[in-house]
Amino acid sequence: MMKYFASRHVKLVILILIFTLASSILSTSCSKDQSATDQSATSDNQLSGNQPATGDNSAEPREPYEIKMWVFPLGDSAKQKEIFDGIVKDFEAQNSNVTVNIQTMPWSNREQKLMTALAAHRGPDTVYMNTDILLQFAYNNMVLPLDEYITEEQKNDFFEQAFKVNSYEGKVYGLPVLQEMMTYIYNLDILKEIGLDEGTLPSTFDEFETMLKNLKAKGKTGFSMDLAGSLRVSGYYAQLWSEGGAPFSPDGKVTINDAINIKVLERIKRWYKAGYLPQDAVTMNDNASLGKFLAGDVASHYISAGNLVTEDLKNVKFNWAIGPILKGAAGGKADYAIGSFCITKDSKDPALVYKFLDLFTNKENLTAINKFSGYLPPRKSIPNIFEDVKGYDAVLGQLDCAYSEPSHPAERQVMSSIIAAIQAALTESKTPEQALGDAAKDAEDTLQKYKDIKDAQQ
Amino acid sequence: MCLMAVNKLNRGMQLMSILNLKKIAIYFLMIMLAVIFVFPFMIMLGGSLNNRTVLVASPSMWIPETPSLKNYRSIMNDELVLRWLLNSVVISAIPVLTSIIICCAVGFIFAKKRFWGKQVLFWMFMAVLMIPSQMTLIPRYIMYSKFNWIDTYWAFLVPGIWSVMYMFLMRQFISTIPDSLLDAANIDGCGDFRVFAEMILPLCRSAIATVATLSFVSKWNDFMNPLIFTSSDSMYNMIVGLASMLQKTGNFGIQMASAVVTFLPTLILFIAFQRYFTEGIALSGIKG
Amino acid sequence: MLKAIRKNSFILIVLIPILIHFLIFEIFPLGFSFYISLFNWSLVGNHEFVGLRNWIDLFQDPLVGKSLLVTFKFAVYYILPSMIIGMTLALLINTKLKFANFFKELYFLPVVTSIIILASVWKWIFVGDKGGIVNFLLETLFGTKNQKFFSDENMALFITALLSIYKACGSLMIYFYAGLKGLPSSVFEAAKIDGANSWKALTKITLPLLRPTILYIVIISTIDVLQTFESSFILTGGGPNYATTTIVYHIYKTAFVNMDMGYASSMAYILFIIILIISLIQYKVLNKDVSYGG
Repeated sequence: MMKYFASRHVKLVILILIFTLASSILSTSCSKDQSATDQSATSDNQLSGNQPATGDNSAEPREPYEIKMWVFPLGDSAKQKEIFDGIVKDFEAQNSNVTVNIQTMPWSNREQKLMTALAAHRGPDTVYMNTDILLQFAYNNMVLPLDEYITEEQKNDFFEQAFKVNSYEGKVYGLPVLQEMMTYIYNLDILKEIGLDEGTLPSTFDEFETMLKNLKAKGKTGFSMDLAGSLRVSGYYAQLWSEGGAPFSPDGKVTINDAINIKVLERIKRWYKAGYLPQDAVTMNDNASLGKFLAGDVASHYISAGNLVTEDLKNVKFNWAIGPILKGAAGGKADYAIGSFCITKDSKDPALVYKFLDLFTNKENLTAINKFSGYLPPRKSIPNIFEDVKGYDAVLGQLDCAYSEPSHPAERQVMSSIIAAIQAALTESKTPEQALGDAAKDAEDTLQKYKDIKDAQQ
Repeated sequence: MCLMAVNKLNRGMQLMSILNLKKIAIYFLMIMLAVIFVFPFMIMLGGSLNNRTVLVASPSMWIPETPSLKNYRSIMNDELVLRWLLNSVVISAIPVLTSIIICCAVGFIFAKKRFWGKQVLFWMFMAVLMIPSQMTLIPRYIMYSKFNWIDTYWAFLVPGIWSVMYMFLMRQFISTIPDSLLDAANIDGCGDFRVFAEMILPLCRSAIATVATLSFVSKWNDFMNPLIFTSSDSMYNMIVGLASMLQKTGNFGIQMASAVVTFLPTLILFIAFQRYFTEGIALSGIKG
Repeated sequence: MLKAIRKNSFILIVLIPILIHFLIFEIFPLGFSFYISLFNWSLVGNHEFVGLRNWIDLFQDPLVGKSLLVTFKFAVYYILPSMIIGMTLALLINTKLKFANFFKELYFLPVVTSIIILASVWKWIFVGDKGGIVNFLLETLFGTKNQKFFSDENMALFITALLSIYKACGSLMIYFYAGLKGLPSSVFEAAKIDGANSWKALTKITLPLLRPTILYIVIISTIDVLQTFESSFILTGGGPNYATTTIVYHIYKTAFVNMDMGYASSMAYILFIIILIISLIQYKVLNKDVSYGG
């Protein structure tokens, strides 16, 4: 194959590369102008806000419109489909010429998927988002503020906390659908072997560590964490917050390598080295820890309350109970996340989309959605829907420990630096101090880059 | 004389027993290796019929205590598996069909025709074989984004119409067709189109089969391109669909069932077209 | 003039559209990639021209160096073992025993199976706890203590390479087999008469004669290694602590997770240059072919 090359052709290579370079400069300078105009068009939209606040457009026949919505698996998918299809049917009946297309996306990499879809102008009108992602998108001007659409009824009935957490620079960007609580769950059969029962579950991290030690003495693995996955889901942040620490200070400075962070990482390293965590914890991800707990292999897990209504938990072959939120130096904190719907900048009829979201989040529908998914409805007027679900009364009693750290738009990227630091510390290729120091430096670089891009966009 | 015969017999028997020993050793080695090679597939199959959520080293991983199709049912209910299958078929089969014709035609041109700039053009085509597809992933992504091809079939069908690699293979093969055949056809008044359609294509049947098989399987197993050029889960091919299943749940049984479902089409293709794989690989230098 | 067009109509009708297609989808992206590398190009918003900033950052970024090192280590773990196993398999099936063909197809099965499918099982087999299958086997057969596999920075890459070896040795077997079949039997007969046993025949005759095949395999294996992506994606997500982040995985993460396409493009260019250099080495080396005969 290679015999066809000769040195005189090198000149041709250079010529060709120059040709392509020139043509790409030409073509992209054309589209650059276009994207500039695209930018200003959307920002005009946001500023003038010239849509009617609420209200009935039913007077004029509307152009056919398809509302595209992205959701994620919130629970049993057949039930989810049933509920959502019901809402869609109602809305389509009330609004002629409008169809709603709900797509269920996988959780992984969802923010990247959304970004790439929006960039290619193939994004949905509305998408379900957790708070931290919502803020990231608000920062990047990819979602629209909803203040002008929010009705009085909603302002009164939704928890203020829910709207507050969804705000960026004073404007609300998400209409809340559910509140997620994390909590600690224990395998009582394993715990019996060290003399613990439902009434004597650990309530502080020190007591927890004692429990882990005693379990290890009996050859049991006490706890499992998906350390290669989201730090919110694995319980790392919960520990950090409970000790009064955070990756960022309130004024946006990087505090990844301060004393509290190092202390927490050293503790987790201690647990790992002593064998309280499975040896795979370093690279576990994608619900692997939950799988281990359900299989009866580990004694405890930091679990989302939404799992309490799933078949998997109902079918386990051991006794389990919910334990108190473990307290550290700063009290007990567990991740609290709001899931809400936003309206993306791609949407060509935000008022209509909001109408749909309004229906979606009314009292009956919200009750149905939360009941099946196991999350808490964000409306004050909805009574406790989980009286018959085992463990939920314990969760409701822990609501005062619900905590959410105000997020930074660069959080997801910074998280991967922290995850790498945790892995390095646990595999002992760096000390916790070194590892977090490197992560802090990465985070500062990332923040700087964010700032540069934001400045360039002004 | 008698002694010589006996000696020869003895020598012969010794040789035979050494040979037999050798044979047994070779068979033993082959079987051991075969067991190792098949091991992951056995786990995949056994695990999918299992109710376990994690894989542990116990006999139950081979012979599930209560074999059940529960995992399969759960996948087929839940997922877009059939849609993924359709996507895989579309983005694999259509480019293969167009590829066959175009690569044959272009290969024919480079093998048998003469024209101005032929060397340069051929060299240019060959040069891109050195460029890994990952290198052009980012610019192509931005290009397709601007064309609005992301999350559609176009991102796979249009660029995949032909490929330099397979064109080269066809060219190599067609150059082995004696010129005299083509000259005879020309004298008889056949133009290029007729020569191509009625002579070249039929003669290239086996090369076409090889190229079609390799190209189809390579596109079927493609992960990176369908990962990047799609955004909604209804547009995944089976491989990306499997990856998304793996990330969705940590349940061993369900993961294995998804893997088996994704593997079955590959297995069927392999059994049906075995010959072309192993023949084609040596020809071409491509790996699956 | 018209006559010339008519005469060459087949060529024109086929080549002109193909050439256009080629320019758009193969040539243009090359230059475009370089163009992108001169910008701070994230998907949305304006692209900020930064000149050679990305290229300068590239040489100072420890992660780029680390991912190149990882890729190099991967090459070391992968190339030699896969060739040895491939050669062994080829020798085995070359013995032309009964069922050899069946075994050949069996060994080839992982080659046609998508690496994602194989990785899904691999992840479970090499679980780092005592209960994992491989750990269990190692303990009962060799009495080794629990290995951490993917959770150990040094082992994780090796196990990932093991997957690639497993997948590829079937196709290497085919290459070697084709090479073996092409060897002249006269040489072997002469060696046998001279009293050489099989091992000597193997090392002193077969391997040297197979030099072109071996070289070819080394080069394409290297280029393959430089493109490793899927296994990092599925098995470890690049960890622990970037220990399995190959250069292509790093490019992917930079471009499509961190949305930094300009920087990723400059990395992709470096990768391209490395592959180019290796291909040129192939050209030089294969030119000094050994020929049989005599």
